Amino acid sequence: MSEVGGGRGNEDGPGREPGERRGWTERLLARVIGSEEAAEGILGDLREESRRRGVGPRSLRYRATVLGLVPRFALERLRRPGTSRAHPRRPLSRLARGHQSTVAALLHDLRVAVRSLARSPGFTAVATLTVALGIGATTATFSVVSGVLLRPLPYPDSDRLVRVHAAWEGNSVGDLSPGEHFDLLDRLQTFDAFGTYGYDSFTMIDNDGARQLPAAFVTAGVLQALEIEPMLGRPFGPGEDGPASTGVVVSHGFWQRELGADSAAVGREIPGQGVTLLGVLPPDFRLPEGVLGGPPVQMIAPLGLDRAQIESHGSHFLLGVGRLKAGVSVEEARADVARVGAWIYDNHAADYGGPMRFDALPLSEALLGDSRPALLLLLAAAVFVLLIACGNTANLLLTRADARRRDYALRAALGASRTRVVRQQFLESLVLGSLGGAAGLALAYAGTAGLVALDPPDIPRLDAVAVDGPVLLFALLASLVTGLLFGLLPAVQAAGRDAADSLREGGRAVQGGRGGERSRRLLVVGQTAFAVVLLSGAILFTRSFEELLDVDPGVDVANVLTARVDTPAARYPDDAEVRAVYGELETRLAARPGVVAAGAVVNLPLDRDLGDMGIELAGQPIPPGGDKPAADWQVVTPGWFDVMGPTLLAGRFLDARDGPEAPGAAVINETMAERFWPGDDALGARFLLGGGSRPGWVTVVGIVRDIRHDGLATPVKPQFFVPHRQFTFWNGGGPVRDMALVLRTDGAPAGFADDVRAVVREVDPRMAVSVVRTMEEIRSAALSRPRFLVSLLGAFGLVALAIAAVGIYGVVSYGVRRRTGEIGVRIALGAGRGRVTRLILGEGARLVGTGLLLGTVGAMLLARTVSGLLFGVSPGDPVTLVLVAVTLGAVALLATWIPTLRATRIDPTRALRAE
Amino acid sequence: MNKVSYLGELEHMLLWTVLRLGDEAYGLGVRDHLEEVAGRSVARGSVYVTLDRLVKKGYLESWLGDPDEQRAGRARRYFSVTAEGKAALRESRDALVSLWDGVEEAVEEA
Repeated sequence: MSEVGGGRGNEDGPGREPGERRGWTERLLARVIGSEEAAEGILGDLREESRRRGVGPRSLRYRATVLGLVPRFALERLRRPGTSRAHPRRPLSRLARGHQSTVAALLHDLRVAVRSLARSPGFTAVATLTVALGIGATTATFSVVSGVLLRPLPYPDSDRLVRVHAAWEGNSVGDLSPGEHFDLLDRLQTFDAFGTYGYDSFTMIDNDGARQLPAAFVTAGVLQALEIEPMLGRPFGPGEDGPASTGVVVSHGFWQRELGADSAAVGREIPGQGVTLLGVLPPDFRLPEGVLGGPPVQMIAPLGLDRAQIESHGSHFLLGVGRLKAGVSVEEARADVARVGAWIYDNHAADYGGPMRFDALPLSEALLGDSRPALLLLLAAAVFVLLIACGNTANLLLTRADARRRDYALRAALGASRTRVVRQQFLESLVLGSLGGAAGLALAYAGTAGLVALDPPDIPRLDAVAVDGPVLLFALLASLVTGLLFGLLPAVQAAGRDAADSLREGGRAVQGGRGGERSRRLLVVGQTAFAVVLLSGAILFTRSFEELLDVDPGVDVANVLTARVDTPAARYPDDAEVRAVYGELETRLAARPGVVAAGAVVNLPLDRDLGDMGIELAGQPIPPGGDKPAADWQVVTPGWFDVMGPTLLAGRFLDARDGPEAPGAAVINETMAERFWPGDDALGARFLLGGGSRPGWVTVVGIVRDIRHDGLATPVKPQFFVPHRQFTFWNGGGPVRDMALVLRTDGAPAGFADDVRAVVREVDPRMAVSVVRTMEEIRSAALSRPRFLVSLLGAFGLVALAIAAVGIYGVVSYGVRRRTGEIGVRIALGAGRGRVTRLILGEGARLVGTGLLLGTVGAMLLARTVSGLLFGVSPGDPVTLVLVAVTLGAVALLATWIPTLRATRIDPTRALRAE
Repeated sequence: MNKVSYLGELEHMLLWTVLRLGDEAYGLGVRDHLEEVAGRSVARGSVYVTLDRLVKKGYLESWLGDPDEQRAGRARRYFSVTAEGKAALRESRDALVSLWDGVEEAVEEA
């Protein structure tokens, strides 16, 4: 009231001095009075009078006096509508010209909105809960997406880090070979640093016994590229990563546990390891793959590649990482890598089985790209839930708006402009949205904790998932947008409503306008459609998951226990000793009571992907410029076949005959037989292992059915098994030292973990046993991502179904209430129960049917975009469509049933009297 | 609206007051005077609403004066009775007179 300045309009005539700015009570009164001249006179009188009495314009008393006049004028206008417009009404924008008064008016309207919501707690609770479900689901999912996908990798300028990889034609991403490492290192021009690395383990022995700890073997370029800054000491540099180098860096945890957090340990030998401690990593440090989760690497040691010994470029087992020079784009780097790659291929084509591509991609994409589609799918699903929730809330608001038509009409009569009514409506929606957002955030906290607790090993970086700043911002935005979204329709309805009409209708609360009815139906159709999309997504992925469960991995995973052991060169310098130890372990394990068979293998199926090896087929010379064949390789002891039970199609398994001195033998898979010896009997065929690996030439002694080694949904590649006792790595690298023991048991396999430890202790007390798992666990872990996807999509589908059901129920039962009179007349005229039932059910069916149709079309279109995530079912899977229709139909029937019952029980006399 | 609609009590009193006050007839002044003469307080809202209604009926005309320091810079709204208003008063008076005719004695006796 004391705001000075800002003149009134000029409608009061020329030459007038501007009067004092009106306060909000005064403006309200002026509005109700309608005529500016009358308002000017009256407001002036009020000020003159209060001045006389010594009452200040800002006092409560003055305001009360002003407000006291409002009802009198409002009543007058209701009595004589349309006679008050001596002057055109001033538009709202001018009324609320000053910033302060806009805020004041908004605050006022906000108070009104809050009060009005507080008056109907039931409505508010239902609406809040619905919105909370939607926002909770969306926010929780977003927190995962944000934590996993959006957060940068924990390295300085991590956007300059790229993964460099090589891949055979047709494969997406492959590892690098030592030869390629040196060529790339020498020739790349757009990189500040480049290096390669691999993961392995080392054995730590102390008073507690022997343990195997995860380790990484890296070239100096990796440490440079990642800009690793040890907390103590220094990293190893170029020239310190060769075969003779012994300087390592260790994790903070290792330094604390094993070295007693002694700073003096730096520069000294690590006891029992034959290596020197150069530096200690900071506590949270992780190598790129460690960022995804899993136990952190305890030691980073030199990879020990020897430039002089590179014979072949064909053995790929190294991960490449590089740091781009500042200002170099990924595209430029890709061109650079491709250029060097072409040079490598041109100069070493003989080492490759086929055209080799070299490429680079951002490291974050390489690490996280796999989980992106699934996570984005989940986010989209959550947004759908939110939209359905919005639909319901909009419906609730529409119904409520109808019930308050007289209220709105009265406000309009009191001089509230449409804008004002619409604003009021919007404010209520925003308040509801915020309430829902707050409740949703609470749900999101719980939900995020739940998601992380589900801990799907295949969804990386779950430890980075938290409800944090970006997530809070997301929730806030979601609440606001949601509020606007579901407030839009009711507000438009309110704006379009004619006050006089509403009043003439006598304010019968249930009498909805035609427009309102249409909007409500439209909303239900939309909700149903979205629910159909979500539901079909959930069912589609469930079916895909079932297909995946049905996939025969090619091995028998039941009752198999696995454990990793290592025979480090430091303690087993003799190759024969390594082979003997595994033979001994196999024999002793198999002799334990309850153990049916025992064996050992390099890579467990469904656990780690197999690497491939270039080979040469006897009698099939490669034409100049032709492709050299390659196959996945696996090294096993004979017992492995007894344990894992692959199906023998021809010939025999590897067995005791295939000793170190015996001719080289191999078992191959069906795919390999068909690929390289199509139409021929592959049995007895011979091929040469690549890279100088021994036994060199091997003869195919058996063919087994395909084993889905790299994943249940991954296509099987040519694969061969060679005996552990015959195999040595290329370049005279010796036997495989790090193997997984496998044993088939006649009872629950997990119970045999102690047997494994006991046997290993018997054979060598200093040998460590690590990662003891059953094959079932490994299979389950391989299914974790689809399971995660399915459980979340299922949950979203159920929530969507529930919300949509409530929506359908609401609209149909509202329709029944609205048509009570009509139905009463029908019943009075002799319409039977069946007829009334058909009437109401038919109405529900029309809505649901339309939604179902639209949703099905949408679902089929959308399913195509996610077909890459599906396995064994087509996006347009008819079973899914039928299931969705049946489920939704059943739920819709249920939701329509109660209002239908109510309709058939309408008492005609009462219904008509109410009319 | 038919010409012979009777003026209400408050309408009567307001028309009289506006006539009596002449050039000084503005809202608050009319109210003050009415309270003085009629010896009772009249609801603020009723006065203003009725004045407005009389304007709309054409019995009063109104205009704004100059902005007034005493009124936070707002103008007074002055009223004067139109010819129609005077006619209505006359009609009302005539009607009342004829109604009074023959009953005055009865009233006096009581």
